[in-house]
Order: sequence, then structure tokens, then C-alpha cells
Amino acid sequence: MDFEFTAEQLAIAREIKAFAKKELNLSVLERDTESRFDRDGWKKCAEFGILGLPIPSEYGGEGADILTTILAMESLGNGCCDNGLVHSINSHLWGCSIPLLRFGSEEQKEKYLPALSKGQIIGAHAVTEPDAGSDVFSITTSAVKTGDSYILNGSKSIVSNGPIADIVIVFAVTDPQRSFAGGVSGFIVEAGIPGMTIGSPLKKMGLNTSPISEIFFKDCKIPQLQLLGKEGFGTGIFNETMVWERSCLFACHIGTMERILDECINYAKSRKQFGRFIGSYQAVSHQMSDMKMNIELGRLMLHKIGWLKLQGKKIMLETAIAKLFISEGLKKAALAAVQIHGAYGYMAEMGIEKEVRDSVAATIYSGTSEIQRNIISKYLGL
Amino acid sequence: MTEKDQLRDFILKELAWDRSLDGLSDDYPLLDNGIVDSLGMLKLLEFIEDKFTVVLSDEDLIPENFESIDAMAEIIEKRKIAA
Repeated sequence: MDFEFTAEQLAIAREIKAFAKKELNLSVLERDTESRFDRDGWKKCAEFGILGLPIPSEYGGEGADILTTILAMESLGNGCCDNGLVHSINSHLWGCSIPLLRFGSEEQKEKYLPALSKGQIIGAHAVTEPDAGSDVFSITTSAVKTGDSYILNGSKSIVSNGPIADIVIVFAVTDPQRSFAGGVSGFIVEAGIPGMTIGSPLKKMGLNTSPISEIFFKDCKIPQLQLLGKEGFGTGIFNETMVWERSCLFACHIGTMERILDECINYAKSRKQFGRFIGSYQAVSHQMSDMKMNIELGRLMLHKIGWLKLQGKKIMLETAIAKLFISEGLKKAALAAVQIHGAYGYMAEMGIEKEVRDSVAATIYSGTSEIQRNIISKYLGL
Repeated sequence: MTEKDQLRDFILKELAWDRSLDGLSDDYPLLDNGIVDSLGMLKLLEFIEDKFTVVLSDEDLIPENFESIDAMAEIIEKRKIAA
């Protein structure tokens, strides 16, 4: 079994990490306090090719396969301290670009993918509703066919990139009798269309530089040409989004965990108490051992996922396992980092407490830990 | 074991193990009776691809193909012929 990456893949990873460290960490704490999205950082990522990484070159992207993308995302998460920017990039890619690539018509792909890949437009994905979170297929936003259009009515909550999105993949019910089994469809909705209202940015615990809002639809007329894939195929589109999100976004979190670990090691080797460096105390070093263990195991799972996907295998079980393990590991790593840094870790100035606030959502988005356990149970035949 | 029997066996053991089903007819509505949910459909798709060595595309992942054992047997045959 060959675990080696190619020289080209390793070069991409090195370059992204170096780019992120140099270009994406300016005034992170200030922007976090102000809940300010980094537009300059976004443009720089677009110029670097990150926003079109897995998109074929004929649509303006870099044509990277999923394994290369996973490696690249890990580097991005490691080099970039702005976890909110990373989150927005991932929402754009897996929530919008990938569904368009996989299910869009040629016209839709040509119309949107080049601009998405160049970061000229920002994508989002709207499925969650006030009464439909984990129970995602109980959504009630409706799309009623009228002539050569659909009329959308309803509301979406917790839309990542909502306030800054130019296009949104919206999931709506086209057949109320069928639910997940052919009753939900996906639509490409351009921001600013009459009948669509984007709410104000919502204040939240962390990922403050990644804006989130509600979106409301009132008799919003969408041309039939904006239907994504076939009518009733919303479940398939959603599942594909989740598979990419649960692997590639969580690759970023592996990178973040490694950054947190490096900071802890540096601190533990420089801070003395009772005449010894604190890293020499097992109570401290063991916490970093656990971080390392979780990083390596999570990484291995993601690499296996990339390999399986390249073989054309279905990876719903594997991505559920990876997502559950890595998200829980990220939260543990962030909390352990605060503990290792002591009172200084609690202070905003060091940036460690921000990692905790940013990490908490990881066990919620892309399907909660409970939902991942449900998926795994299902695959166990329970 | 026929293909339909293999499907029936899988459904009873993996998806309906907690139901008191007295057998499962070929035309029993699996979706309407909640035997197959969204995850169940994915599990069935993986089982079908592995067991019967066929490849199902995104277009095949529609309720009509999973609504009964008969429906699944039909799509399996279609994909075998197409291969």
C-alpha cells in the first residue's frame, strides 16, 4: 500500500500553506471582533486558484482530483488562522460549485462555474429552515411549477455566505407527497431576484468572519432553466454536497488541529513552571499526544476517502466516520490548547480562545455528531 | 438464491430488522411503508452495486427504482444489459 503523495501534490500543499501564512492572516483578531469578512483575502485565494481547485480547467478551475483537494484543504486550514474565511471558501466550493459541476446542465456550468472558480461571484447553499435542521427533508419551502417557471415561498435559516452570496443553491419541495423520495428539488437562485430577501448577518459564537443570514422567499419566480438537475433530485444533490463537505472541509480542520498542536508544542517548550518547561510534565505532554493521535487518524481516514472516491465508490459511511471523529477532535484540541496556555489561553489577545469559539460549530454543521452516529448505526444494520 | 431473494434477505436483515414483517412480497411498497428511507436508499444502492456488479448512476437514484423488490430487480437487469 503506497501512502506517498506525488511530488506535484506535495508542492501544491507547500505552496498553499506558504501563501495562506503570508497573505490570509492579517488582522484576523480584529476582523473576528468586528465580524468582518476578508474580501481581500477572498480575492487573493481566487487569484491563487483555491476557489476553483476541483473544478475542471474548461470551466476556469485547476482540475485537481479529490485527493489532491483534500491535501490542499489541509494546507489551507493549517496556514490560515482566519477559520471564518476558510469556512466561507468551503461553503462556496462544496455547497455551490460542486453541485453545479455534478448536476448542472452544460449551459448552467458555462454560465456560473468560471465566475465561481475565479471568485468573481460567491456561492452559497440554502437548505436548513427554522423547523428543519437535522430533519432536513422536512423542509417546507415550496417550489410550485407555473408555466415555465417555479414560484418559491418559504424561508431558510443559517445560510453560510448568505449576506455576501451572488448565487444560492436553494432546496425546495416540488412534490409534498414524496419528501426525500423525489419530493425535493434544487434551484440555482441569483441574489437580488424579486421575491428573495436576504436577512441581516446573524451574530454568533465563532467563525465571525464568515457571514451567515436567513433568506426569505415570497412569490419568488424562478425560470425553469434554473432547476438544478432533474425535478425531485434534491436528495441526490444534497447527499453529494455532504460527501464533499464532510471530507474536504474537515481536511481544513486537520490542518487547523496541526496548527493548534504546533502552537502548543512551542508554548510548552518555552514556558517554565516550578523550574521545568511545562512540556516535560506528562499532564501537559499527554494532551498533545492525544492531539497528534487524532490528527493522524483523521488524516488517514480522509486519504482513504479520497482514494475510495477516485475508485468510484460510495463513501457515505466513511465520510460520516471522518466528520464525527475530526470535528470532535478539533473541539478537544482547541479546549486543550486553552488549558495548556493557562490564563493566557483565555485571553483574546493570544487567539487561542478564538479557536475554541470557532471549533464548536464543527460538531453541528454538515450534520451534527448525533446524525453522523445515526448514519454509522444505519450502516451497522441497526 | 435469486436476485429478488437476495434483495429480500438484505432488506429484512439490514433495513427492516426491527419490524415484525411476515415475509416481504416482491411488490410490497418499501418507501410508502417507511422500510426504505433516504439512508436506506443509499445502503441499497451500495448493496446492489457490490452484490450484482452493476453500476448505478445518479439518474438511477430515484424513488421509482427502489419502491419495491420488483423495481430494484428491474433496474439491476437494465444495468446488466447496458454493461
